[in-house]
Amino acid sequence: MSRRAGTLLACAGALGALAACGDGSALSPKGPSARDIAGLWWLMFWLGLAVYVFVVALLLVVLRRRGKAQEPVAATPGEGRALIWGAGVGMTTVVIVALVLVSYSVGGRIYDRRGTSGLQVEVIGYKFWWEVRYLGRSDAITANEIHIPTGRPVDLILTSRDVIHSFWVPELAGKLDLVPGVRHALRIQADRPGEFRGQCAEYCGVQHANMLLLVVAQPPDDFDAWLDRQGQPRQQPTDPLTQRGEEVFVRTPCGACHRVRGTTATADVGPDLTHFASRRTLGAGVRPNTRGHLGGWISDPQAIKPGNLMPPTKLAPDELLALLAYMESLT
Amino acid sequence: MLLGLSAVATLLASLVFAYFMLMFHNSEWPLDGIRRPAVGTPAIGLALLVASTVPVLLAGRAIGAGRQRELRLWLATAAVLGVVILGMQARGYAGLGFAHDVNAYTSLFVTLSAFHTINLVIALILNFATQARAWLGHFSAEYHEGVRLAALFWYWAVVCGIVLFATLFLGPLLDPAVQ
Amino acid sequence: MTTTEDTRPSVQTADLDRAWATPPGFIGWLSNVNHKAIGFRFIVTAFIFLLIGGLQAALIRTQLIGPEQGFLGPDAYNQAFTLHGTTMMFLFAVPMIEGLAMYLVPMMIGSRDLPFPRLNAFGYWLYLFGGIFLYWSLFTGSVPDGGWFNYPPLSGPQFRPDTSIDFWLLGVTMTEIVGIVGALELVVCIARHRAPGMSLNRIPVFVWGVLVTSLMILFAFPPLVAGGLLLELDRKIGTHFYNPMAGGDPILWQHLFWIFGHPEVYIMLIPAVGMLATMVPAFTRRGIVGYPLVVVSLVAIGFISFGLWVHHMFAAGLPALAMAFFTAASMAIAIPSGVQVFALIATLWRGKLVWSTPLLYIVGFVLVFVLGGITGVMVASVAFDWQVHDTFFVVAHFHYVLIGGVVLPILGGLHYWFPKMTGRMLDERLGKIAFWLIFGGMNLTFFPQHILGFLGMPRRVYTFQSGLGWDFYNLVSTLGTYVTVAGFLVYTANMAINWSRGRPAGDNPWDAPGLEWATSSPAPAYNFAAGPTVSSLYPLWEPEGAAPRGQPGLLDELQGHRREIVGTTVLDAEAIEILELPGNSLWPLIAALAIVLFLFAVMIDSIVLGGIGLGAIVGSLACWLWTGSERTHE
Repeated sequence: MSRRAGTLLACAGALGALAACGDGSALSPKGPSARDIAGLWWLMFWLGLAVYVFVVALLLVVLRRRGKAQEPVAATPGEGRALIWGAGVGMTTVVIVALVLVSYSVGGRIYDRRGTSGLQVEVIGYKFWWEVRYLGRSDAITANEIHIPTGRPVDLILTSRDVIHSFWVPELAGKLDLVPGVRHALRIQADRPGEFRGQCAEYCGVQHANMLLLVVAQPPDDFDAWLDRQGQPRQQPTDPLTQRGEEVFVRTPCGACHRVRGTTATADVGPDLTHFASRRTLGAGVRPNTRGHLGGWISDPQAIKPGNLMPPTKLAPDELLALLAYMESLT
Repeated sequence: MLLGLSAVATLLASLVFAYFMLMFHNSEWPLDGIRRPAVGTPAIGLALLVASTVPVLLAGRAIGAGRQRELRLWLATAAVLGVVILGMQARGYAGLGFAHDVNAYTSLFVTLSAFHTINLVIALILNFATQARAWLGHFSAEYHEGVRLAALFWYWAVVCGIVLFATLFLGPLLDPAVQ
Repeated sequence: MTTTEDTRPSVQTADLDRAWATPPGFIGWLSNVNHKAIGFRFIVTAFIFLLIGGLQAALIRTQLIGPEQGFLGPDAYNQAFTLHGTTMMFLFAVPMIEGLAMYLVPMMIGSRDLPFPRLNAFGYWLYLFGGIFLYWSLFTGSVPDGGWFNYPPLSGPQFRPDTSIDFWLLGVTMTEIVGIVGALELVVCIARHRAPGMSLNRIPVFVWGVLVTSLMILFAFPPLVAGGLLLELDRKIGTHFYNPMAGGDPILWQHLFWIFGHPEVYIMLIPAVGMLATMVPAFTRRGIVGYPLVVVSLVAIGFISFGLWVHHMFAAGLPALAMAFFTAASMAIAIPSGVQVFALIATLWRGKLVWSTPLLYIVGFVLVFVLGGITGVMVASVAFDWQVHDTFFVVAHFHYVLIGGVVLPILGGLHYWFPKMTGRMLDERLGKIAFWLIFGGMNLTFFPQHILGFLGMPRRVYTFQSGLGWDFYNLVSTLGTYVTVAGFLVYTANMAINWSRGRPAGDNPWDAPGLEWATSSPAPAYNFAAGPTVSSLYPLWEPEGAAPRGQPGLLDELQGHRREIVGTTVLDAEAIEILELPGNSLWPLIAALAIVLFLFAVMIDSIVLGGIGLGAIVGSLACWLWTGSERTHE
């Protein structure tokens, strides 16, 4: 009995520590908000561990005692009062008051950082992808990838066009829901350049699991250059193959749902593809953005992400090749 | 019975909660330029509803003293008042000018009103059943649980009417946009 | 043990047998309204649903055994977790608790039956049909997949126009009505039908727990009934309560759902904890320590639990001040919970332990529930919850709370009261093997999930990519599930084998102090031939001759030739009246069928069928009431 409990505790400690190491974890924070919360966690972890060890130790002592055989009796009034009041009420109250105060202070700090300063980015949830609009530069629209400058706070304005989603990048900040008809503000900030994985955290339907996103933190200069580029219309196709590709894009079902700024394809049902080739993933993070995966995705997106809203597209082999070349030219 | 009514009362409270939550959620109330409902006729209906508690109360007193004829008389009086109020409500629905499926406001208005109507109908059914049993002579000064329960439900329907009147007709006045 | 053996000459057991008999045959079986028959059906049905829910858990975990698995696929996975949550909450936990309460409470408080036997039977049929209704969706191809929380707009008419969500809403609403009906009955039973002498300070803790829970149900279930009604109206007749495009607000559903949903946790927990406190004296040979504190803190948990619901919505973007309040309230509930745990430990400390299987479950409760409680205090902190909300950390947390605080006590309780229900003992060796498998398996399943939460794994995902550090923990978690499943198989086999072949139990195999052990196992339909009287919290531990014998008065007037129970005062349980109960009846079954017909009509939009159903409901209720007895509560 005691060894079992001991092992359990050892595991608890070891695994708790392990969790902190992993990259991509909420406990390896890369920004102020996540750092505050990780600090709060470690305080609560040690307090919680102390309480649990106390309870288990007490239980072990109690269970190993050999009580005297006796006639069964009712407990006498007041018996065990010290333990119930001292541990049950006293200890619990002290721990809880402490945690409430610390929690308020951390929560307050995260709230206080909110405001209207800094860069504003609108993030709109769709089944099952994210639209990203840089406010003030209305032409800069992208999807599933949010670039931010390092060391500067960025305010995300979160909303949804269909069901409720939730924005969560564990290394940067806690999560906040995207609710249709409402706009929520979430401030994120990254200390150093890097790519941070995020994922929808509110069940939103059949492909909730594959509604991924990436936050890319860049040095401010790189970020400005990136943003300028994203605000431009698409790269004009120069060679015959990519010109053919653009024709295919505009003419086929592609253009019925997607927008490529600078062409006649202006629909906004699916993600904006003006600078598609600059993105790292496709299908909201289900595959890396490579030629092979893109070909498979265009031909049969339902095989890769069943239930997403993009229908399969039947194209002649040469049309597909031209289209792929065109998509790859949209840097 | 009282416990059961407390569950139904919680149901009513939930619906009222929904009304006010959506009212404060929207910057405009009622929505889409619908005019605030007129208080006049519903207020008369409410007055009649409150007045109907008197015959119900007297019916209970009568059977408590074993006066069968008085019991039947007061039950019938309450029933007549109830039917008149139902008629007024039906006219109210007809003159509403909107249906439940226009927007959240009309959905709430119709659903909450219907909730009261349903409660009043149940109260009336209980009243008729009690009248039938009263004619058959089922009740005595000692055993008249049936009368007591029907009365209890009638009072509940009245309370429900007051709460919903306050919500639907006076509630919109709380909207900050009105001032 | 003088309390029950003083059979008065005026009561003939032959008369009682005749008055409480159930007609033979299937029709007779259908018409049975006795609290033990109905309670037993609740328990068996809920146990079957527990196994079904467990099977779904195994399917879910198998899909997540490694990255990019194709075992279930997204649709089946989403349906599986929806049905798992719905089954466990609505079809297992609450009905199991109410079933145990219906079976045990009248015996524990010395009554012959529940005060509204036919309402009780009605509740069972509606529960059974509600469960079948929900699972009927499997045969139609449109299975609910909105999660057990069923948030609109995802569950609204725009995104789920088929009938899947209607199956869910109507099935769940039926079980909610069952909950309310059962609660009404249990409150009246406990308030008005305790054995003479069972004043408030002599009520077994389990009965207190049932009382608190029943009162909570009366106020917690209606908000969800309202929420469900509004959603069904949105879906069926085009209202806009949750439609953000027409002034509605999906957050309204979240409020109504969690005003129900949070108390729901404690609705299951409070009687389960009460069960432990009622069992523990048999295994410590000493009464529960700190009885008044235990009872007061159960009541306190009941009250506080209504002030916590927003902590399920910390990531929904509500005002900061509101969230601060709910942080404090959510943490405060740890105080009365701590009292429960330390009172149990203190009782173990003061007593002489008897290591039977139920005691293992009591110790298991402390180990598991305390850990779930600690993580519960953590997620009550708004800032911390922003990180772990809707991740596997929360999955781990609430499974520790619910398995530790509800499932383990129920399994221990079933082991403990099995002899009372069947007259047979369960096998101790199998019982202990089952406990260790379940206890070990659940820790193996859920402990690694805490870490998955930190690593960024959200709930309700049917797949994940490798290379995120999630693979190992998911594998361990899935293997743990298989161990747990093995434990449940052993547990179920133990019951199946010993149902009819176990060692005969005798009246009181545990030498336990409660009144339910004062009658034979299984008890006759009327429980007690003579109404027992009570003079302490532990009537069967009273020294010979200490209990007052045969108080003259009303008890002597109890008749044998019709179904009668004693009515007592609320506070001091003084006998004041004798009430006659109605006998067996088919009307409850017919009324439940009529309701199903009506709801089915709503589902398929058939006005004609709906009219017939409504008529049938009114008609059957009228017949039910007309055939009642004049000398009962109505």
